Amino acid sequence: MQPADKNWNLSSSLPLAILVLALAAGSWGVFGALVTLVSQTFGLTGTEFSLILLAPAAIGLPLVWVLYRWATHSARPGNVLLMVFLALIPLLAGLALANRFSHLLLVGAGLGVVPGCFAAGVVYLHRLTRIPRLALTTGLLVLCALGTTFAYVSTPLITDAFGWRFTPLMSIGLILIAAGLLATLGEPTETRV
Amino acid sequence: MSNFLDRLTFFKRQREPFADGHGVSVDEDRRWEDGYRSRWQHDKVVRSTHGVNCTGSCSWKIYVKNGLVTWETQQTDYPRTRPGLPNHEPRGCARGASFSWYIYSANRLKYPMVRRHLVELWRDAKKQHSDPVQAWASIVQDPQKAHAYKSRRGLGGFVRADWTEVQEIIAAANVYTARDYGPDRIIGFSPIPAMSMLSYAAGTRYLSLIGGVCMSFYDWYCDLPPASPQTWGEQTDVPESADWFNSTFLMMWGSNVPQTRTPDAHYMTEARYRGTKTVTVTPDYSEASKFGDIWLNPKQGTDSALAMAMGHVILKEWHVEGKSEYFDDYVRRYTDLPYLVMLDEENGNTVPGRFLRASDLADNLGEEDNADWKTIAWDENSNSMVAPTGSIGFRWTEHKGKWNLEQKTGDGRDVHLRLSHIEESDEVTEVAFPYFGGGGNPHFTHTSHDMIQKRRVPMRTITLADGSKARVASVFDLMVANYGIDRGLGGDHVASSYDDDVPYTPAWQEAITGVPREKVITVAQQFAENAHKTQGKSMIIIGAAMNHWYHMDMNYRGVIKMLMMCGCIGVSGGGWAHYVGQEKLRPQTGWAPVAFALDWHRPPRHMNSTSFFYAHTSQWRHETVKMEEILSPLVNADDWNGSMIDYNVRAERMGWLPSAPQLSRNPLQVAREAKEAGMEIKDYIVQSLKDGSLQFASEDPDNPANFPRNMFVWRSNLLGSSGKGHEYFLKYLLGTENGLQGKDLDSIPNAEKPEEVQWRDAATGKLDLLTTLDFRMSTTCMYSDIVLPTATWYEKHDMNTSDMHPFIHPLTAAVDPAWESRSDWDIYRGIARKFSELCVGHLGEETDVTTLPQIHDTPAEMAQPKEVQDWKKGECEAIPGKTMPSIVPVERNYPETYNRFTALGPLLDNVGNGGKGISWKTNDEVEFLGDLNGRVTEDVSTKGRPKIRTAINACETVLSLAPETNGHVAVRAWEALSEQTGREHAHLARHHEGETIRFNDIVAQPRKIISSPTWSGIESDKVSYNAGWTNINELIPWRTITGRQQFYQDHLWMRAFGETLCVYKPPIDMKTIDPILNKKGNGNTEIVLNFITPHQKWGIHSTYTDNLLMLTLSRGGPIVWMSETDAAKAGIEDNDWIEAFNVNGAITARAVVSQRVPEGMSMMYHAQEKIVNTPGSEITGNRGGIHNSVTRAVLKPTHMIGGYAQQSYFFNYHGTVGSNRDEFIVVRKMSNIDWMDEESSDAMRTEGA
Repeated sequence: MQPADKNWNLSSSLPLAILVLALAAGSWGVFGALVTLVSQTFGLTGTEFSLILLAPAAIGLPLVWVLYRWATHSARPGNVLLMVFLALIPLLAGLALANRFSHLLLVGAGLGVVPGCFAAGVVYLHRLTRIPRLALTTGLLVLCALGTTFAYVSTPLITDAFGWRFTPLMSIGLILIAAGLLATLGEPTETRV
Repeated sequence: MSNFLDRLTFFKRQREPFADGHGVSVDEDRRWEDGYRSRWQHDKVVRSTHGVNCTGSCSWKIYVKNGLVTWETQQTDYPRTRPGLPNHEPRGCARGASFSWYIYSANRLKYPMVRRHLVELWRDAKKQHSDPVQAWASIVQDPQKAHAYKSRRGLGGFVRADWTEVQEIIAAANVYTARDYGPDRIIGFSPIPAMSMLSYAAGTRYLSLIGGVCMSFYDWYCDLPPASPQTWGEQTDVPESADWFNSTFLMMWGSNVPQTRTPDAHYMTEARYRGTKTVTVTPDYSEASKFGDIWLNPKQGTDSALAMAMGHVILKEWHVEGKSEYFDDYVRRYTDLPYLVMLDEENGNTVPGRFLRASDLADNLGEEDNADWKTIAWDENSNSMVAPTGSIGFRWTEHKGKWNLEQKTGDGRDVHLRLSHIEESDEVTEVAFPYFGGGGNPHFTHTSHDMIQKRRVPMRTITLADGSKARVASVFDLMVANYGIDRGLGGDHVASSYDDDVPYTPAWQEAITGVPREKVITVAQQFAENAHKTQGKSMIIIGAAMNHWYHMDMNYRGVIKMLMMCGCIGVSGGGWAHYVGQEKLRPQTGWAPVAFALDWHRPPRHMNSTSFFYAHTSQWRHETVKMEEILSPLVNADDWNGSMIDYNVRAERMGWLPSAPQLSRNPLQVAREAKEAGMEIKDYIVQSLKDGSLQFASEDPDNPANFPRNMFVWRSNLLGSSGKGHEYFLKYLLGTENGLQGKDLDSIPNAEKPEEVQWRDAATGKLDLLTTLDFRMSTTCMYSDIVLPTATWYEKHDMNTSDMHPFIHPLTAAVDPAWESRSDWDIYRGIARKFSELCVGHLGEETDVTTLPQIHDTPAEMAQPKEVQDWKKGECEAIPGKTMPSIVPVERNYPETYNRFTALGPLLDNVGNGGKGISWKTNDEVEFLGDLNGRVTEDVSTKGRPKIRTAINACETVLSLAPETNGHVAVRAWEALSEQTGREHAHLARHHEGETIRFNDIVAQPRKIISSPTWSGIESDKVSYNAGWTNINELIPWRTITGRQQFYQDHLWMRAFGETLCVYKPPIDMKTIDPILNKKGNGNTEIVLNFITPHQKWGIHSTYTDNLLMLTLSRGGPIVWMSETDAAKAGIEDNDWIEAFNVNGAITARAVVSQRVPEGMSMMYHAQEKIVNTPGSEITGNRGGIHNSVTRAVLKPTHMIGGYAQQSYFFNYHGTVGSNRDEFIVVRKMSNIDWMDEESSDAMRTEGA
């Protein structure tokens, strides 16, 4: 594995990109775990519950295609990743404030940006590492599974201690830290592959 | 941070299964429970109580957090009672503990509300008329517009308004009504001032300033026992509950003490633990029954038969056989038993007549004045007739100082009055006594005894002033004969044994009451023996169950006679403990000037509500009870014709009862006419009444000129709780949808119509404006045009007293009034301000004319001494104050209404204050109040007067003026009484002379009042409050014709209706069943039951019956109790929906089938709101009604008597009462439960209510 431009870029950008993508996956996991926990509080029917779980996938598939193309054609795919990643903040804030089904549905649909993150992330990491995209995609799938698993484990812990609305707020805090690090230490990667 | 991280315990929890895995215990964070715990945290605790007519007046801690009331608990800091006596604390019941639920509940009224149809008309009218008074006139003068909003009453459609708008509507209506119809067409109903006396006073002060009418309540509720004024000349004066503990023989007669006197019941149980014998008398197995060592269960409504039988035993064994010197001395000194009654000839019978008077005898028996009003007894010392001091003739005289019970004559000779003349009689003659037990209501047992019972009575023949001879007998000898006791004088209708079937023996009552004679004899003997040994410590607690019957005075007098015969009245631990309603307004004489604006105008307009509502809800148009059904068999029925309302009209025009509206024309106009005619107003009115150009309004109640036009209801749920004849109210007074089933006399063939009253086509919708102030959406609010949100009992400053304890207690504003609610004081002050603005140009300085009945405790109570003469029939001259009402002009300044409302007027400086026949100066107190409350500084007509702008100002005014709360005034009041009695009484208060009670004092702790001559008991460290104590110990006469306790009632009308002495009268036949029984069947069996409405466990009247906590503890809505036997007959099972109905209307409720209830009787707890869980009625097609939907008021002529010593009118003291227990209902299981949930054509718009 050879760095595309500079070694220091790889040593900082690679773990940060992985962290960002893990957090993105974790946000999805937080949402899934919370919906399971609070569905009774919101009085959701089975159909409503299913719709909410389907919503990220429904919106996410077209977004994957759009963002992959955007990142591929972008001189700075890292910026694309960062922008999509930051879009999670209002969505998680919305989750923290949600008090009816429609709010949850809207947040769920918005979380379709998470696979979009991964699309942009694949392009970005490929630029950094030259690793084949298929291998990257496979690795990121594993990363996604790890992120969501962590979210499923930590969400009850935090929810139990501080209330369910605190969990998305905590995620926002982590996103802001990760995004800040990526923005300052990450490699913008202008080289077109 | 550690604490923060320590919360992350999700993975550390230990889960331990138990119960074979059916349960698991976990170690988890339980800090969420803090949410529950913080529910019971508070920032402050404030003292208040509940203004709810339960007689509790309990001290409560109100807990406040973040400006909200969170809950309440019982206070425990009452001042100590006497040594050896249990303390009062803690007081309070589950109902009171649930009150704070109301404050923030959906039931809470939050904003002023107006019926949509009315407010739309008003806003349209305001666009066309800049003058609000003209705008109001344009609505009510247009029949279509008026009908449009009146016919929607009770059907929802309220919209939110603002205070400015509702004040303008109300004030405009009042100005218009006073100007065009007269101020006496504006009326206000609010009950029981003792509940929250300043809130009451707010409305009555406003009404009294504008000349409106304050309606009575105690009589209307039928809580007023007419037997009390008849016997003692006192409304209701009773022992405090602590004195139960001093009793050694305690009877609970028709009083469900543990249920309806919850905070006081401990004294009863503590007395039992001490060894006091208790007897309960209730037809059902009530909560009180289990406390009785003996339980007697007479058939409901037959209590007087039981009491008469007990009286028979007591009188025979202890008086006729002379077993007790104490009893003998007591009745000789303190009762009318020695007094002489003239015997008359009537229809061939010798009958008891009126009391012999000094004026009947030669030279007035030496009496200088009032010889007509000095009653006569036989003195054993001189063996001659004497006029002992203390009779009413000694009270209202220039020669003061002889109105006392010193056993002397007016010229100072000692007397020893003779009780019986059996040893020295001139003759024994057969005297006829009426017997009523052979007829009456068909659902009660009749006996076959003669309607006229002739019994032999020893009598004396005397020479009258004109030289003629007359026969006289003592009340004692007449009473022994009346009880049917054989004294060896021979003749029929007397009993020598208790087993003889003669009225009123224990054997006789057995057939009527169902109580075994042995039990009656036992209880009577033990009652008397205990009283003999303890010198009067036998007590009877008595309640509404006895007083709500048409012949309630017979029930009560039967019991009272037992107490008087045994020397129990005026003795601590003994006496008559009547508790129905929180009637004891302890600082009464300090409160009255504020409440009725006596500081500005006198007299106020007062009206007895029973007669008023009977007339103006047109219940008289449906009257089927005839006078001949209740007349004495001893009189010629042809001499006593007419209907109930005829008697009421006669009573009004003779000055016995008040009138409202008063005359058939606007009194302001009548005054102007008199001035134009150049005549004195009094002369003009007398002349106009005599020539027929003017009438009393009561003679033509369906004439629109005589309608009551504006009505205020506050602190009351008149239509949902106390409106006897509820459906008549809805039809005639309000003009809206109703469930009335009967037809008026026009539709009944051969029905006799009234003679004195103009019969017209029925008038409906008489009221132009019904305004109700409340904190919750009650039934009355639902029927009102305007609903004003008041502060709750935790949101205002006020005062509260009770007859159950001697303390004066505050209501305190723990929090500000929620949403847009305001205190009653502020609401009426706002209306007064708007009225003062709007009246300019319509009303200025006006002369108003009031008609005033012959008032008790004034010289006017000596009106017609011997006969009853009606000026209208030409039997006598029309003399105001004597043969007709007094006519009193009152000068009003309408634009000054607000300024006068908020300042203490000059009459307290010029005339002083007083009550119950005595008066004293109040200059010092007025000066003090100026310093305390501040003086008016604005440049208005009241400048310099003491302010009473706030409720606390008003409280301080009451406390300063009342002898009960100001030691200086107490001493002055006792001294004023001493002038009348010639005896020194001020020692009762002198040790409290420097004591004054301020509002903040009672907020700190309830304060015990100071002894006052307003009441007949005292407050001391040695004796509990007990009525009659000062009569016995200070020798102050009772305020009766003889000055003694009256066994005998000698007024002509009492004789005509057979009630000179106590008799048994069965319930009357209301005739409300036959026209409807089995006429509108639903396929289920119909049965007929007596309808009883006792006070309840889950509410106090209608309050709390819509409270979720209380509903949860009961059955969640209206219920009717019935016996298992009756239920089986009608195929009804427990909790079935049933319908109860008669010609008056219909109720829907769930059945409670219980062995508690005897066969033939049903019980519906009093005042269950129909706004909760009430389905539609199959009979009426409307929603089921309230308990009063099946009742109707009926009047009793003996309650109309006036101008006759103790039988003289005073507000809430004496008058017609609204009985309701003689009523029967048809009961059947419902077939169709219709919740009437479909959308109304005029769906209610509450908009935020």
